[in-house]
Amino acid sequence: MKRLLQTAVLLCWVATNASAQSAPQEPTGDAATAIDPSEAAPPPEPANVSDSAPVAESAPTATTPPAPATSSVAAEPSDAPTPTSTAETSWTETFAQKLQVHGFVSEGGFLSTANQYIGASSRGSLKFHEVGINLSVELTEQLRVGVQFVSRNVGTLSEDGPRLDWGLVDYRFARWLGLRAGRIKMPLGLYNEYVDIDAGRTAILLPQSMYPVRNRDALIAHTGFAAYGIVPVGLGEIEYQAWLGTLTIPRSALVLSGGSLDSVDTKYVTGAQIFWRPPIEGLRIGATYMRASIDFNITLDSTVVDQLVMAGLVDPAFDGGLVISQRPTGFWVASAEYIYDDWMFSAEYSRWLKHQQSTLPAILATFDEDSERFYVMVTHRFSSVFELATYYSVLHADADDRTGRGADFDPKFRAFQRDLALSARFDVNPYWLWKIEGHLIDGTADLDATRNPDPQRTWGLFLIRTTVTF
Amino acid sequence: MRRHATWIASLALILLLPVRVALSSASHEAFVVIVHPQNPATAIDRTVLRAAYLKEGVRWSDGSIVVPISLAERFPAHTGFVQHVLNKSVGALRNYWYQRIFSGTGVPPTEAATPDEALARVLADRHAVTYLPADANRGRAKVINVR
Repeated sequence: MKRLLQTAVLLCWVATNASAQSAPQEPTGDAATAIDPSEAAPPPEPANVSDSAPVAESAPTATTPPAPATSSVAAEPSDAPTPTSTAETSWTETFAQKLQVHGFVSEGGFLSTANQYIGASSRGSLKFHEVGINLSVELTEQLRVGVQFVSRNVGTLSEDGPRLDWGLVDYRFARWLGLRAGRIKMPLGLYNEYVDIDAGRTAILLPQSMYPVRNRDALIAHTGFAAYGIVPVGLGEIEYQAWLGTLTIPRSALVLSGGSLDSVDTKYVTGAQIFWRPPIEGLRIGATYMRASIDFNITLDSTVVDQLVMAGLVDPAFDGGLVISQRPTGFWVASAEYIYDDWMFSAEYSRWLKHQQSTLPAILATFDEDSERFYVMVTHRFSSVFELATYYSVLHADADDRTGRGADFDPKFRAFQRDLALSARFDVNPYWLWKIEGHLIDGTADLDATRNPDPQRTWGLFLIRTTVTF
Repeated sequence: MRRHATWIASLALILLLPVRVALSSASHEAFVVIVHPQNPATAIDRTVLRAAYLKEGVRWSDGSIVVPISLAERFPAHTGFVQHVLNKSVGALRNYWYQRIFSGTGVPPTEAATPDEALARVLADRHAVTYLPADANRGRAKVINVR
C-alpha cells in the first residue's frame, strides 16, 4: 500500500513538473556580456538590497519600467507563450507549474556496544524509518502555502501513523518582514528546523547535546505565528525570526511510573532568533532564546494513591490527580557558522533552564535545572559524491556539577555525556544517498535512566542510513 | 641532463594538465544573465542577484519582486552560475533547498528544463530574470551585467 502511495506521489510530481514548453524566440545577435567562471570573480560587495530603494540599476532611457506584479504576461502579448484556450486552463496550468511536491523515504539501523540509546540499541535495531511528503505552492510571489506529513518509526520514539509535521501560510510583505501562521518549525540554534532533513546535512545524528533525538517531537514545531525578515545594517545584514504559539508535546515526553499522563497543556511558547551576516560571505553569528510554560496533567495509579494515603502524605479524599508544571522552561543558544568553499565549521553553546513544581510537593519537590550543552563540528565535501563530518559534543546535566561530584548523580558519569562522532556520506545520485556514522561516547547523561538501570560509562554507537529524496 | 629535463617536462605536463582541463571545462560554464527587454535594468549586483535566487524577496526598482528562474542542473551554465553568483557548489545548493523545502521555510526558484524554456519565461514575465549558456539563443531578451 505504501509503495502504491509513493508511486502515485511520484507520478503526481512528474506530472506537475512536466510543464508545457513555449516556442523559442529568434536570435537577434545582440552583444553578449558573458560571464565566464574561469575568470577571477569580483570581490564580494556589501548587499544594498532594501525594499524601498532600487536594487537594479536603471538604464538612462525612456523605456517603461516593469509593471507591478499584475498581469505581466498580458502586458507583453507578443512575447507570451502559446495562448491557452480558456482562462480556466491557464489558471490550472499556472497552478500546476507553481505546485511543488517533495518527499523523502529513509531507512537505517543502529547498534551500540553497551547501553540502550533510542531503543534496543545494544542488540542492534532496524527501527530507524522515516517517510515524509510535502506540498507547497506559491500562490503569488509573496504568498505561499504548504503542508508536510511525516511518519516516523525510530526506536522507542515510534508513532502510530502519519502526523502533520508542519502546515502554514507564509506571506512576505517585504524583504525585512514576512509572517507565517499555522504549525511552524521552530528555529532553535542553527539546525533545529532541519533536524529531520537527512539529505540536507552530512551527519546522521546532529550533535545530540544540542539536538537530542529524544526531545525532537516536543521542540520541532509550534502552532501559532512567526515573523521573519532580513534587515541591512551598516556592516552586513541581520536575519531575524520571532514566534509565539503553543507546543504539541507527545505523551512519550514524560517518563512515568505509577501513573498515566492525561494531557499536556502548553500555556505558551515564545522565542526569538537573530543572526548577523557580516560582509564575510559564508559567516553568520547569532543567538536564540526560547521560553515556554507547560503543565502535565497526571492521574496516579490507585495503588500509589493508597500508599500515599497510608503514609499520610495526602488527604484520604485525594483523587489521584497531579499536575507537574514546568514554568518557565526554555533555553538560550549562541551560534556561529562559517562556510568556505567545501568546508563548513559550526559551533554552538547553550544553557537549558527549567523550573519544575507540582501540586504534590511532598512527593515531587520543586527544583531548578540548568544544563550546559555545546559542540564544534567540521564538515568537508571532498567531491560531489563524498562528504565527511566530525564533531565533538558535550552535555552537562547540571552546569554547576559537570563531573557528578554531588549526590544527584549515581553513578557519577550520569552527569555528563561527551560524544566524538565521525560521519561519511555517499551520494549515489542527486536523489539517493547512503551514510555511515560512528560515535565514541563517555558518559550517559542523555540516556533514559529507566531503560539503563546499570549503564556503562564508555560506549560506542554505530549507525547506517539510506535516504531517497525528491 | 637530458633525463632530468625529461622528468621536469613530464612533471610540468602532469601539473598543468588539470589546469588545462579546468580551463577547458570552465569555458563551457560561461553564462549570461537576461531580463525582459522592457526591464530598464542594465546591471545588477551579484549580492542582489544571489539574494533573489535564494528567494529573499528582492525587488526591482519599481517595487515588484524579482522572479528568478533556474536552469536544470545538467547544464554547465547552471554550475557556472551557482558557483560564480551564489558562491556554492551545485550539491551545497541542493542541500540548501532540501533544508528549506522540508522545513517549510521556502521553495526554490522555478526551474526551466531547457535554455529555450528559460528564455520564453523571461520574455513572458517582465519581472523575471534568468541565465543562459553564453552561446544560447537570447531572442529579444536583454543581457544585463553582473557587478
